Amino acid sequence: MIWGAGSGILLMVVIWFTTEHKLAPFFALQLIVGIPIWLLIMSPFQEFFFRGWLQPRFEKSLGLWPGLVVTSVGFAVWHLCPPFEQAQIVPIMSVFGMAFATVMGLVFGYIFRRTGNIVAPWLAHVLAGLTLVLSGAMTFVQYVE
Amino acid sequence: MENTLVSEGRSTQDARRKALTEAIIALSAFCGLSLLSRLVTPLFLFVVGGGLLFPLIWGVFTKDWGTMGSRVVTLGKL
Repeated sequence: MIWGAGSGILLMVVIWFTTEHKLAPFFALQLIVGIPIWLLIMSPFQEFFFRGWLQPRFEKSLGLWPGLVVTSVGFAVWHLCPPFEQAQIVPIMSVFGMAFATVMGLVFGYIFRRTGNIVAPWLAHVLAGLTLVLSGAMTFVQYVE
Repeated sequence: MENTLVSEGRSTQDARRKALTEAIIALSAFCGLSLLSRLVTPLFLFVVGGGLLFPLIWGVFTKDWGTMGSRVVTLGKL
């Protein structure tokens, strides 16, 4: 858990200083909705699939480091696919966004390999995701006039 | 002896190829379904459900919880 929490806190700091800060409307509600969504849905489905299932296959077929890199690039490319831009102001569709997602994938993947358990990258991913909510870069509740 | 080594080498190569094929197919399906969710938003629920359930169902059938990092022994590892 030290790996998960430690890298998660490190990512929180990095995300906090690299994203635009804007207090989201209904901030308390964003947190009330955002925490369980990140903890129980957003983080586990990505970690179960990318780290728990995909990474061991790429590592087995390509080797440890190439497998980790290919999984991380796949993780970053996948972030371009869903309609995430509706929920966040982070420019995921940019060179910076792709590079950042790849680095995040490398960190989560390394933690997974280092600890051999899925909970560590899950925890790190939750902390990183919550920073997006805290900094107002991701919103789950939107105001419609 | 030589035949056994050749056979083992071939089966390792086959296992690697199988793992790579599985990974590419699953990643393509995951990305494809996510792209479709841009057109039909509720499809994103299948992406989320798939991401959660697919590895779990795979684990139930293969019992390969160790490689998925879901063995109780490793869960409390520091």
